[in-house]
Amino acid sequence: MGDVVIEVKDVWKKFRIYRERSRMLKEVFINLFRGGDRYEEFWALKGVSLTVRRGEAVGIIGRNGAGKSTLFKVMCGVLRPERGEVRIRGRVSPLIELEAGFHPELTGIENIYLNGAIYGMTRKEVQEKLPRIVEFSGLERFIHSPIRTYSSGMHARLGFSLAINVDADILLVDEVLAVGDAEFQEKCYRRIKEMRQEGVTIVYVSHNLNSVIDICDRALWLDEGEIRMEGDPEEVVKSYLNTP
Amino acid sequence: MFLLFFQYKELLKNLVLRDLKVRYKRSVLGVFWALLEPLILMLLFTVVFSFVLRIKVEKYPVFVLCGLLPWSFFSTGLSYSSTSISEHANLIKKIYFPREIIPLGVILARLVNFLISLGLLFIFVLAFGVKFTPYLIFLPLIIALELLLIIGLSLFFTSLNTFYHDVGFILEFILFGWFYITPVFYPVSMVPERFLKFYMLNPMAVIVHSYRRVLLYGQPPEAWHLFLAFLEVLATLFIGWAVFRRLEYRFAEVL
Repeated sequence: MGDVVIEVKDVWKKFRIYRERSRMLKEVFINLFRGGDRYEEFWALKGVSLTVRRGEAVGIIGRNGAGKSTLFKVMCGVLRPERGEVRIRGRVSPLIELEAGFHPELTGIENIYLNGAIYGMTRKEVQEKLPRIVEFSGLERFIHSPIRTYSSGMHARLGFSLAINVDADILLVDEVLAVGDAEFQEKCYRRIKEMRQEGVTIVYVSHNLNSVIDICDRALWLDEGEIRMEGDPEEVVKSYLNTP
Repeated sequence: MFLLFFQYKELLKNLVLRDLKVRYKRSVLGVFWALLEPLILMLLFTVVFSFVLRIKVEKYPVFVLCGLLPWSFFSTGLSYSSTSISEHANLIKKIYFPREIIPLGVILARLVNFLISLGLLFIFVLAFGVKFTPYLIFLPLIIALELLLIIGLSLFFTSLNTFYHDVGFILEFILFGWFYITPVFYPVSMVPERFLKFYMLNPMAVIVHSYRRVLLYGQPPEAWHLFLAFLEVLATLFIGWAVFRRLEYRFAEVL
């Protein structure tokens, strides 16, 4: 067993659900400085703890709204939990719908550089990986066109190809394999497994239960913001499926 | 915060480049707009204030250009950056990086734009027969002061605007009013003596005035005013950053 690279300790995350979207500015300022109470609170995560060791692949499953994506975002550092602690050691590469940072007016190549920088890569690093990224995407012919001319599938291809080629110690995957055509999905799937072999730590959030069993050493079942079960992927998936 | 500049210089550089590239894409004249814009404004202001309203200032075109350039750096820097976090909702919601980078990138792109247009100003200054003096060495200092002022105010307005777009509308009015209490199209000497003390509390008044002293009048900036403005800029930075820090972790929740 390797050392601990992800440590999520008793994490609580709360969201505010506003009853009305448009509120008075006065009210807003009062709330801002005093902390008002004109919204409902909703706890998306209720004391979740998770430890991931180097080289492990952990799957997270659960119904819609169970808190999977919230946990994911807390691990990425996008959301800050109200209580608890998250410790990450190493370079994290979140695999998400990666068109996020793309700009429609820029070409494929320009976007690769821009997004690479968002991932914390230097220009040189991107340069070195460029051939691999372009090849993986299968978009050689379009790579010098502005990506506003791309289809949504092509966007996803480009984003995924970049993210998967970041030299990450930890790969966080959130339901990305739902994008692209079957052939590309298969390619991504293979690449994730390959990275696993290379010793990359993986946290894999998915509704595709078979892929969780296939990829992960351990699975976590989230239910209403709490861990319902943790253990062998096959067993966890089985009880998940057998629970109405 | 300045560590951020260093740590994320790659991202910052990319964002600035992208901003510059995208701003002028799909326009025939491209980056020439950075020069054309102030030039057109200069003509308009000269017609209105020199010929119609007859403000008595020598070499009015270059005088007004000297105020317009820093002003448009200030106003576009603030208004463009204030919406930047909302415009990058996709990114903010999905991946972590220090959020300050986004407005900073916009402001630095405006700085590049400003520096390009300064080149134009230099040509005009020479064309109007003004001689440069060694006091020109104060120029980088004044630019830095203005940059820091914009960053401080931007952090404040950008973070609030991300929550409530009302702030963006309010900012428009603030900038509108601020324009008139800054000596852009009239000289500081037109301000009544008894108001001057208060007038110079406006850091932008000090900054614009300092540009003129250094570039047009061959005089050093007024040390006391500049020092006062410096203190105000520090306070602005401090407040802006504190507000930003306090609100930034909720950006991803409200976008």
